[in-house]
Amino acid sequence: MKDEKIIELFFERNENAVSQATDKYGTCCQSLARSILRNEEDAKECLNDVSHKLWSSIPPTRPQSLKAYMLKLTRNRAIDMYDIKNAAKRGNGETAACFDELSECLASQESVAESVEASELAKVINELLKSEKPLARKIFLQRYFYMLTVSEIANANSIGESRVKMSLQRTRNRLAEKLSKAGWR
Amino acid sequence: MKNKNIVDAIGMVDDKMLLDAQPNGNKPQSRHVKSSLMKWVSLAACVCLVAGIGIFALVSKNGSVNTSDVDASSANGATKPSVTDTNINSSKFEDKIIYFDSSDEQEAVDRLPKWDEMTIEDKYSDLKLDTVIESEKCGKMDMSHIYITNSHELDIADLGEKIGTANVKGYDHYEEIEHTMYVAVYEIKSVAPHCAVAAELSKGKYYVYINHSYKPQTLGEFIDDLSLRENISFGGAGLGYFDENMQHNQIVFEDSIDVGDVFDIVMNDRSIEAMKDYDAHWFQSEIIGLSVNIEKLGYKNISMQVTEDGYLTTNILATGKAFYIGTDACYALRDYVVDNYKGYRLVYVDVNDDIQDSLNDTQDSSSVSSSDDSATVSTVISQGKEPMPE
Repeated sequence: MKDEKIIELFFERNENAVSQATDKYGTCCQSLARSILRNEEDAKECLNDVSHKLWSSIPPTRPQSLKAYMLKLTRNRAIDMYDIKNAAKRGNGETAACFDELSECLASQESVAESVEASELAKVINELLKSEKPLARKIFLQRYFYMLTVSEIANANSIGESRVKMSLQRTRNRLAEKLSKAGWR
Repeated sequence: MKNKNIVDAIGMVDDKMLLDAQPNGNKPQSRHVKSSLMKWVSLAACVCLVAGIGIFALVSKNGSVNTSDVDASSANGATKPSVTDTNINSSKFEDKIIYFDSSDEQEAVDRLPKWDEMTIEDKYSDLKLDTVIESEKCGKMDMSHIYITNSHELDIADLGEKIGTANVKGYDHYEEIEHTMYVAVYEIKSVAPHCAVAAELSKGKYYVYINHSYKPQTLGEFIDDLSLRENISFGGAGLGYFDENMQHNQIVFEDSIDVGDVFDIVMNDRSIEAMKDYDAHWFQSEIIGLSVNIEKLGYKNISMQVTEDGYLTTNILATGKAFYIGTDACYALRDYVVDNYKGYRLVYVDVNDDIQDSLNDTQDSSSVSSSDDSATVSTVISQGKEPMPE
């Protein structure tokens, strides 16, 4: 079923909308949740939460891309779940490493970091990514949106891990520079 | 979480960029390597680029290297550049000229094939077993792993006992439909089933599936699970280093490296524990890398290398594995290959430059480190068309 039709089902409050959406994009969403949570059961629970969120958020939201919308909901929910489950052992694991790498781009002082709106940061990040080469952009998003490990990214793109690390380092440096110019670092 | 706002901000990137970057179900893309030379040429180019950038940035105005800065760059997580190594006699290597075309577009990405264009082993990328089995090789074991296709048909002679049945899944990215198929699953002879299995995707045809999340506890376990002494072969080797004149040298060794000797030098202590946080660790520069083949599983031209901080690392079974073997063993492997195999020093010439000028430049720069009577071999490549080594 086409995305537009599925979204119409949501607007009609037809309960088939959720199953149509999860049948179509559930696999990729669960895969993303698995990358963040590193646990199959948690990934399933996350997908279940995303289904509820879909139902409650459409309408009023009318996503341009249902797939991207679901992936974003999944990532947000998985990160929240990750935070709750790892509150006691913060700093451990691949996902934490991912967050720490990103955090280095921003000021270390909590007061500065907290004052920056995520939406303002998103504008800078979008600007930066648009100016990056396609492969560098892909590697950055696979690491920090899809939360893949360095070796998973290397495999997915048929390149060496050192090249992935180098690309990430360079993009992070450029992001830090942009944030610094904006006074956020 | 530190600075959660930036993590949230990444979640707001443009939909198109997000969908373009979507990984293909974690499935590694097929690699086709035309020759071992090409692989090492690419490797050497990569080493040169990384090390060259580092050293360029660290050379002070009077031309010497500031070693304190080298250490600082390492502490910041950057790849540590190769340092001067006067233990290698550069004059023993013949030059091999590599012509390349710098104008080639290097970011070109192949079109994702449509479902009907894919082979059956590429279509069904994921296999999940939910069972506990009794393996002849490893005894009772939990098999609830996700296996990923290695796009390789198993030789029937390597087919082991039947383990059970499983669903294999594939995803049609154009029609956005998930396909599933019910198949019989088998062990692969001399390979532990929690490392890899074979699935009968069509009548009498068996394909290799790899457990990417396999993590051995020790080097001995890794060797045993894959029967590496029996199943591995080395296709050649490559190294990059700076000589006493700060000239960067890229050396390739094309002949197969002896498996028994490599085991004796770097894999003889079976009790060494595997690194647990491989992806979070920034390894120092590679001292030497070997091209690895495990034909039974369909692996050709993957890699195993030793690093300046004393690790043996490899991407066998798709995800990184590292074992601390000590710097002595790492350099011993480098010395063994240099002393026992014929190496060629690569010299790059851009076909867009004036050929004669480039050759003159090359000869000028290489004269400081290579003997006058060293022969020159010429090869033409088009850089960027070949896959980088894994």
